[in-house]
Amino acid sequence: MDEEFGQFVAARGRALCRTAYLLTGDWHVGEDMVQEALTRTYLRRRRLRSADALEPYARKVLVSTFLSSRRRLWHREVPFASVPDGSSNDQLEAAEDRYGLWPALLELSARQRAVLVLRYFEDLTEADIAAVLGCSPGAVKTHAARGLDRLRKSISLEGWTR
Amino acid sequence: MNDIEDLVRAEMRARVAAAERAAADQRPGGESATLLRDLARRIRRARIRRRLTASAMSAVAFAAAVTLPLALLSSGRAARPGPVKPGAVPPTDTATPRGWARLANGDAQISAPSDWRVSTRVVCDRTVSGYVVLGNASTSLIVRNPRCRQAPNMAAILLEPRNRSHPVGSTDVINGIPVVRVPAQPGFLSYVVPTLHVLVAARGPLASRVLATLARSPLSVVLASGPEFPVPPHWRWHHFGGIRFAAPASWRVERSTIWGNCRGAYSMNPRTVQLSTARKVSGLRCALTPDVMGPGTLHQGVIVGAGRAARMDSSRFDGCRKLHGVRACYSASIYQEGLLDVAVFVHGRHQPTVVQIGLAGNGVTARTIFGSIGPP
Repeated sequence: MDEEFGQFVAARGRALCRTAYLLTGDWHVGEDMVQEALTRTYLRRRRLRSADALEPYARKVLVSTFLSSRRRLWHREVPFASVPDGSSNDQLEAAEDRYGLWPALLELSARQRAVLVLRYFEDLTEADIAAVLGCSPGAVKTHAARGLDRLRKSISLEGWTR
Repeated sequence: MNDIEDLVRAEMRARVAAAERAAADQRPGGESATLLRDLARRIRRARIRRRLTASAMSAVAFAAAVTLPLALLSSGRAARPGPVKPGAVPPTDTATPRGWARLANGDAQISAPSDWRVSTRVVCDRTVSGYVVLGNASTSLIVRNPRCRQAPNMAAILLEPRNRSHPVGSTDVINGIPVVRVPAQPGFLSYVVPTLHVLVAARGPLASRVLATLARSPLSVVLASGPEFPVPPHWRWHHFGGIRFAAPASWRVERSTIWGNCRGAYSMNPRTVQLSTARKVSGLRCALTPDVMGPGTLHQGVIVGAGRAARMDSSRFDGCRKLHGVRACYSASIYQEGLLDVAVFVHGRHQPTVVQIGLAGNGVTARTIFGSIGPP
């Protein structure tokens, strides 16, 4: 691995892991996906225009890896060799369950979740999200609206009126 | 901006912060260093795979360039094997052919060419000549993605529920094991093996040959009920970690302060008794399963961990036995890596001594070692 790419990974790898975690709902699966995305990015880095293009490209590969993994039938299957030793994670258990929003987020369709993560966590514009997902900004708006609508219906906030 | 958007934003940030803290606790120090190390390894593997693919394609092109003109020039019809039609597996070949590797899941074992990949699901990769799926009853072998380009050969061992009623179908016997042929997708050969509680399936030109290697797995031999195998007189007894066990006298004995390897019996030192007193788990996060088989990669051996690092979560126990008065709980959850993990609860020790037994071969050696475990 060359030095420039190493610096990029050291600087931005963690941020990509955070995004991947929100997409997959599992830190380790997310990390694995980030490694996959970074490997592909590394192998194609010479075709990118500049070093600044590394992160958008890696993010694009990450999201497309996530979407294609979700498209496959086996995405729900947990390989039996990967059963974690611990049954629960104290810190995650302790995280506040905000109106059941997290499970609702995980139940959104892959595209809806990807759009919401890119929009509300990465703070990307609709045009940028469209570029990442390879669709039109209109489609991004639709996915975001439908995703938020499903979340509204799912969460158990008392007195929620919107 | 409305309230739901704020909520989503806040929820995501909170979740990420909690997950990051949890990940940092699990792997203290050097998160990005670990990422870099793992990534470097993955890139290396990807490069090798690319190079191999390129070499294979060149070889195919070269072979085609040489053989095609010869075939056209030859007067007779070229002898070309046609695709193998699904039919009964010949009840022969109990041995693993040279260059093939054994691979087991649950109570069953098959052999396949050692350059095949091992997976827990369908693999969309045309660059490999074949792959073996080790899964369970819910593992799907059907590919619905039209862009999925699979290898020409595939075999699978899928665990079946033990209480499943025997299917109706034509019966056959492979290497002395009764099997029931069941309907499958076109091109697949598929058998339920009631005595081993698995379904084995294969497709491609090597389907029949692979299924003809069906055998009992070493694990099923080790855990089968029945009398213990007597310890041969020339074996050597070891006393370590509050237990006593026997192993072949020819095996090397190594003291180690390392615990935690990536590939189970794949990285086990062959024919070695490793006695570990490690206090900390060594090694990085490892791949879940070996992705390329290799002849002889599974080894016979024993690793005994008596240090603080050698731990087994009780949730992983698949069963417990009384062995010469001590309680031994075993787990085959990393069986894909060719190991049987045994936690031996010894009186007076605050944590069980962990014994890892390599499950290569026919399982007789492993069963003898397992049965020899007892108090000192």
